[in-house]
Amino acid sequence: MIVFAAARTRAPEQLGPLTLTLRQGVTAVVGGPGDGVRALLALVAGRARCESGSVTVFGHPSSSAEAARATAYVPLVPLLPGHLDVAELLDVAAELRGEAGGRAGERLAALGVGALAKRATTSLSPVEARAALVVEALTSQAVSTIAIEEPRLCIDPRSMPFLLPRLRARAGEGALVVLGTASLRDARELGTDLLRLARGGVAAQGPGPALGISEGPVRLRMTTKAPRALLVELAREPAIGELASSGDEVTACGAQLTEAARAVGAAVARAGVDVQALSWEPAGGAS
Amino acid sequence: MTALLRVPGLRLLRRRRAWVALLCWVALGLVSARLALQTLGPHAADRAASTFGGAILPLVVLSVSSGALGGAELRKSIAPFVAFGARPLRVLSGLLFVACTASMLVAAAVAFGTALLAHDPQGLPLARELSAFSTAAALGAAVYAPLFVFGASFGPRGAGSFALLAVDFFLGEGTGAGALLVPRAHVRNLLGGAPPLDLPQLASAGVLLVLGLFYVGLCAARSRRME
Repeated sequence: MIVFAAARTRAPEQLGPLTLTLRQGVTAVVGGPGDGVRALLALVAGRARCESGSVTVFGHPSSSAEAARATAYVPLVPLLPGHLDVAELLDVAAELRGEAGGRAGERLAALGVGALAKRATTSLSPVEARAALVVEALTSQAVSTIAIEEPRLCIDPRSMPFLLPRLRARAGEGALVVLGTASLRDARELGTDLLRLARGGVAAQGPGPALGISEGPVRLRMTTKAPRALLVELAREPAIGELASSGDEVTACGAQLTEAARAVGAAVARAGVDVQALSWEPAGGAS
Repeated sequence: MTALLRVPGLRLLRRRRAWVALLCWVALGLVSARLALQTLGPHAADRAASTFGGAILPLVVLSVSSGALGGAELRKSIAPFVAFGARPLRVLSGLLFVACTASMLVAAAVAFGTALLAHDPQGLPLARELSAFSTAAALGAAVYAPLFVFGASFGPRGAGSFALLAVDFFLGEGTGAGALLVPRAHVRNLLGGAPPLDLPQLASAGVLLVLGLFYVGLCAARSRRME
């Protein structure tokens, strides 16, 4: 299990203090930019350090070599060593994790990307590079913690049909899989447990199907350089109730998320404004 | 551990840019040695030694070190392997071993060729000259390699190495106290040139060893920050 004990970090984004435990299985962490999803994954993978508190992965500090040996992280922007081909990369990773190598072709074929074996890592496109790291993460027997950022985004489409079955299989074998995503739909389809983050804190946590779209009143927050124009259009939407504006941030309340989201979309289109950030929370509940 | 030796070795072998630079410096060194013999006669070996120690040797080692790093900054070179569970110090050790060994071999070979081409039959015996050149080159390379690997921990794409090359050039050009701190002056001394602070050659060899260990320590300190 992964234990966060009052863990707080500011890089790559603000998170915490966070106290929670993630157990074996597939946990989907949902949140938008700035909510702390990337920071949580980085802490799990040992790529970020806690400013205070701690994160332990199966009993080892997340930044330790022991934890790193058993943790595989697939960020949205992967960093692969150059001047190797993909098969060599998998063999090197296997050796460093303390397992037998020489199965690179078989491992790549298991996720439908056997053709990448002899490709130089520097020649891979971003989707192919991510696929190579996903293969490494999901087919290594030495890995007990797998963290993937946006598992359905920017991954070689050849591996997509194999991804979910493989994730579930690894979780069934005792691995702890943490998926970070901004898509609630992806989270509900891929995760058996959901953790929703908002502004660096836990907004909700629970079994996947139970943590769905809010059916009650919601508050939507938008950041735009033209708040006045957006406010005018939002005021014309019957699904939008209370409106407020502070600086570049516009807050709109609605009785139901789906209707409110449609109304916001229509208002943004009519106003012709750029929305830099958009988030929602149950109205009256803490975020 | 073999993976940590294999990867920098593969990088060095496959990085075309490093090979092109290396061949340029080697060709320059050998041509200048030959020209020195044709124009200076009995003083050719001194001129060849000066050119080799002052320019060719550090440039050869810089090319080899950069190749072992894959042309990247030190952190980016090490990070992917730390991500798979290797300790930064172990990755660095493999990298330094390959960079030093390859640098020593290449430098010794180039020094051998330079001494051979610039040898004046009226001067020192050939075997002695070859031995002195090659030994000085290998020792100098073993010290330059960790210096440039340390330099690669600064600047975009390890550009700090070039800065340290410049520092070595300017400080090592003289014979004062500042020259003690960089390899250039000591290598020059070992090759028969002006010694820093009138140090005997054996003392310069000792200082070079100390400098080499110091630079390795600096690399280790930088790698610990990556944990």
